[in-house]
Amino acid sequence: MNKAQIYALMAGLLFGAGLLISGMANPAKVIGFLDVFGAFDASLAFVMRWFLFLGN
Amino acid sequence: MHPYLSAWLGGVLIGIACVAYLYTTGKVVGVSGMIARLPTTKASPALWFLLGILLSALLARLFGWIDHNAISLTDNHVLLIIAGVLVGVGTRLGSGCTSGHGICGISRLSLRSMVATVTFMAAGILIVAVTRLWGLL
Repeated sequence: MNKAQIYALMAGLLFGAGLLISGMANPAKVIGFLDVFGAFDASLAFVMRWFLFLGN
Repeated sequence: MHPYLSAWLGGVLIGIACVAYLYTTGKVVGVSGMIARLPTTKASPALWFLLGILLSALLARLFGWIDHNAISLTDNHVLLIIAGVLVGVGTRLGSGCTSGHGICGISRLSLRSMVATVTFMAAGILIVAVTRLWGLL
């Protein structure tokens, strides 16, 4: 296992962690974002574009 | 933690992961492309990246970091397979997915990626609206 592979593995772990923490591993969350006309959950917008979270 | 805060944090991690991958391998992260190339890939960084994602989920499961009861997935295996095939075909036709186009592509100011992302988002929104209308989801 060379260095590039180890770095890739760590990047993958980080990527996966990001998916899990952001809640994107839960299909309901993703559908919530797409449900514009119903119960809108903007979480995906925060995941993709790093919108700063202001206030509470 | 407020869901939008954790979503933002997750996004930051994903962003760092993509930058790290680009810096160490010189290639952008594109999960659909990586998976599509699996039959021909030989212990390449892409393969280890995918393994990393799977491993993170496994670790989260083993250590109970994630509430798995919160994850809702249909029990209909046929539906899942059909959906998977559609995702596979669609991402190959579009040459990318949410990670390739949505994250890396737009960040590199690729017009093609912006078009692709807007398109699949619009398609998703349309489908969800229709299924809500017909009470399917």
